[in-house]
Amino acid sequence: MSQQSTVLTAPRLVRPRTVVVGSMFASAAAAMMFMGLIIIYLVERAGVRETGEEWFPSGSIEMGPPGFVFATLILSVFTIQWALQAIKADDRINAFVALALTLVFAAAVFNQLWFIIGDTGFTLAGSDAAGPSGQEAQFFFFVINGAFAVFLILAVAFVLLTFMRALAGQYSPLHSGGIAAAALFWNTVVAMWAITWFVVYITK
Amino acid sequence: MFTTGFKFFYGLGSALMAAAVVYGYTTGGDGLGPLVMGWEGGVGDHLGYGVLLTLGFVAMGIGLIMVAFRDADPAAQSHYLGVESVPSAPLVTGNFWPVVGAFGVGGMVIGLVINTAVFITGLILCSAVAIEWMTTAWADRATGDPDANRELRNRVMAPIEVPALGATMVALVVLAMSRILLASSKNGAVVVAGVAAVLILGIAVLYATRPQLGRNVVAGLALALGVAILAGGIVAAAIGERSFEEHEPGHEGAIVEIVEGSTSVEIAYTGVEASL
Amino acid sequence: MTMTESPPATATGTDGDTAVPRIAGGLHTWLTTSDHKKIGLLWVAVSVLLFAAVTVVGAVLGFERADADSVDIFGGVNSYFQMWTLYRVAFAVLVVAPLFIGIATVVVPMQIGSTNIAFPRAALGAFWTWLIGAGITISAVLIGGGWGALDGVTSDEADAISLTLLGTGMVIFSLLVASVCIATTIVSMRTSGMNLSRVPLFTWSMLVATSVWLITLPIAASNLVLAYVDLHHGGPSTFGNPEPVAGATAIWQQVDWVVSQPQVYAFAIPLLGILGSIVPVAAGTRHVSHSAMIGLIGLFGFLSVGGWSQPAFHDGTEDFLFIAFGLVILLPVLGSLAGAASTLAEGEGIGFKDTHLLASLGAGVVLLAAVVSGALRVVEPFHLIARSTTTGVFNLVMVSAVIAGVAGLWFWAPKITGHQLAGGLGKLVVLDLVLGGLLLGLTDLVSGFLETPDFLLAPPVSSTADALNLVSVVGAVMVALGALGLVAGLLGGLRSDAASAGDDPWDGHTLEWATTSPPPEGNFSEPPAKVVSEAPLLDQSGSNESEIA
Repeated sequence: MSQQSTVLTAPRLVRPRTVVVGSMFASAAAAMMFMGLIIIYLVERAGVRETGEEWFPSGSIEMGPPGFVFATLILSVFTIQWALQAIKADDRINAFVALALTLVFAAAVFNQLWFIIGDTGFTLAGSDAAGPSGQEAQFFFFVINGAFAVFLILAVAFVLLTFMRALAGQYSPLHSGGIAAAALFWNTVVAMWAITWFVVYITK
Repeated sequence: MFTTGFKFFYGLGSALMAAAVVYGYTTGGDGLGPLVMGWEGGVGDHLGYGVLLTLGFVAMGIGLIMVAFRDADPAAQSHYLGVESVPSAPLVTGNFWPVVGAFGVGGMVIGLVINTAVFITGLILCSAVAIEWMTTAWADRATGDPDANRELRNRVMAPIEVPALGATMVALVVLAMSRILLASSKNGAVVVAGVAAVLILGIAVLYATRPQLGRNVVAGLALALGVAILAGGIVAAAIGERSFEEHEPGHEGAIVEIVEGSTSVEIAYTGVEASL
Repeated sequence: MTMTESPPATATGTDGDTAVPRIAGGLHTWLTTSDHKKIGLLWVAVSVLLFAAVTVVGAVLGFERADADSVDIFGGVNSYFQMWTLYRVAFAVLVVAPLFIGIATVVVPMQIGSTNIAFPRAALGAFWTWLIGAGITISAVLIGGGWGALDGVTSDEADAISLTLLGTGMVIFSLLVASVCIATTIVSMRTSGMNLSRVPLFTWSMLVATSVWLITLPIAASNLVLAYVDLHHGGPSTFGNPEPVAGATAIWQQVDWVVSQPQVYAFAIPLLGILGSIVPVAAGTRHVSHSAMIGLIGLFGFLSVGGWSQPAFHDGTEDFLFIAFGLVILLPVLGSLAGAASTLAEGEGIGFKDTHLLASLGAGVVLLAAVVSGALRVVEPFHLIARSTTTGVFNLVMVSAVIAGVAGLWFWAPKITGHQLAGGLGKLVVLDLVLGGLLLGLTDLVSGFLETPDFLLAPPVSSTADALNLVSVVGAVMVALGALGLVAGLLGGLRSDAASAGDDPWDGHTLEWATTSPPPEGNFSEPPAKVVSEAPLLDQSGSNESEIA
């Protein structure tokens, strides 16, 4: 029985900036969509406050858990940048660990978000007892947190796909564009929470 | 030093920010409000001010990334790679997955309105597309030989694709046939089942014997199926939910009372068991 | 393992005179292609067909308005409102934006010397997502949906309205994906020597247009999300308010800004690029000021940024910035037209016989009419904001954009279809669209001065307004006929026995004319030479001449 061997050529060089530039434009669009929701939230909240009514019922939103979400996401910024630097240094093991840690932090954020939403006792349509302005506040609470969750799911999918391609040996110091693109989108999503944290949870 | 892309995006961002300040002051902003994002004083119309300011930040952000990459100019990219001339864009092979993804998004959209199961089906389609896309993109760059890349991709994905596609087709046929048979009369169901069996066998034989013809036929059938499913969803949205009769334990028949009003006949629920 | 750089895999082109069109292919090819030229042709073909459909709707709406007392085509004010809103949304996001995306998807990679578009699979996915989204949106309106209902939303209509909102969101999403592909191509895939200040003006205008769309249309998506969630999940807020508000619906008020000043101008940004690309070629000389045009197109882009002026939240029509944007936008349009006129004056022996030159100039004239109408509309003493002038400005911008699309199609037809499009028919279409567009738009401008309201069906305010409504119908019918002519022209170009194009029939200046017609897969048989100016082919011919001398 004879053995046939095939000599495979190395993959062609590709432009290193294409994926990052694409991610930049996509991140800009995602940021504007999220900020559109935040701005309308601010407009509606200001309108309610001008009438002297309460926006969120006092004591309904805790300060701690959203802060933990923010802290977790800040840690994830470090890990995703760690992954990028590691791949640029051709340190694949560190890159895998950093990407895996980023995904673990994302799982922690989903868990905390679930807790926050359950803890408030809010519903999407708002309870009758909350009154019109309270119902609107609860509606916005769900829409903004929901939109953030959707963007976080997209970011997780992006990092996961990048992680799998990294495991398959695809990135190198010269071709780290995929991880840089995922990092850019991830950081955009973290910025979304930074704004949500300040606007929805701190200034309430 | 300052690239054209940077000048455009940073200029756009600066102009939008300046517009935000002007807008803030001309729509009722006071004090330092429009300059310090309302930290001290009012910003005027919240929406216009907020949108202009955010647009400015985003455009400036793009400008900063552009200058960091020197506009991704060919010279900058070739310098980064350490080669003399910048590589050309790779020619990638086409596949069905972008279209499948589009139908997946369509399914999610219709499902959000009419039925959660349709939404989940769309979501599964989109997830499958993401995995297929990722694998194909990976395989495209595995080696410098497109044929080897294709073979590599098929070796990874075919063991998953073939059974999954087969199971999906069987499930679709079974589901569709069950609906048709339930709607047919006793003898009609026998005829329908026979015709369906002959059709399935005929299509399979045709596809097996004429694979070249089959490529476009299969594409047409798949497209028609996708359109039919989405059209069905839209029709469902038009008709609304089918009403089901729910029987509470102990209640046998409808509980209605006909009340003749001055201008119309109203049917009102009385809660008293009666029969018409 | 060592990294090797291999030359680009390209097919060898054939001589233009004997080229066999390669745009044909079975359904399988069109469903799976990753060739930017095929993807672009898909966008162009469907948007042109939708243009014909939209203009028919526009003409029928015109008939209804012209004789509101006795004609009842739609069966009520609410149905009229649904079709009127569909007309506006469809014209913008189902005709004009995709037409430019289609032309850009074909032409931009060649103009910058690239072998393909960035993310070709995403570009194909964007087209099919857009097509399905368009189908969902139109179907949802036809089954009783729309962007709210003037007579209040019944529970039967709620699902169809929700479907309209999500369908519109899907269309916007796909336009954004296509925009990412085009913008990324322009930024990161240029050939050697082509920095951003040297890209052709059409390519630059597409970078500006897609950038503006990418940062503004997501705001419309957030409006749609709020309206959908509110309407579909119990209505705790006012965004999906089923009751009519101030003569419109709460939902439409949140979407209206996309097709109103200033955002409506964003759909016409590529017009300036097409004008700036065609005129120098027709004149046989360089543009008198390429760099000034870069700035003017950028300024036009800035002044067409919308989203900040949403009447649903704040009536900003009397605000300083709204008025300033409406007035200052005259400058880039006038500047572009002046640049075109100066460039033509520099040329020699211009016969104005080419369809693309006539169309690009016609588009510029109609756009000028649009921005002048828009400037009049924002001047407060005229009180034209809620009047028919709004529709007039919209129609003028949209028709001018389509005429620019006609210019682009006739100019780049050799690269899009492999053939030249019929010149006689083209001139007829251009003449018809320019006159029809001006009639359609300017009559609404004048009607606005006569206090004719924007969209509500009402008896004419005067006999003059009545007559103007009839003239407007004539304009609408002319535009519809022009649309049919456009469809016929494009179909003629797609026939295999159409006139052969030649590789460079116009003596073009930019890289798309350095390849065959139709271009091979990979666009160029060999990588283009290093670019040193905005007109690389003029540079090459100049160096050839000097060598010969």
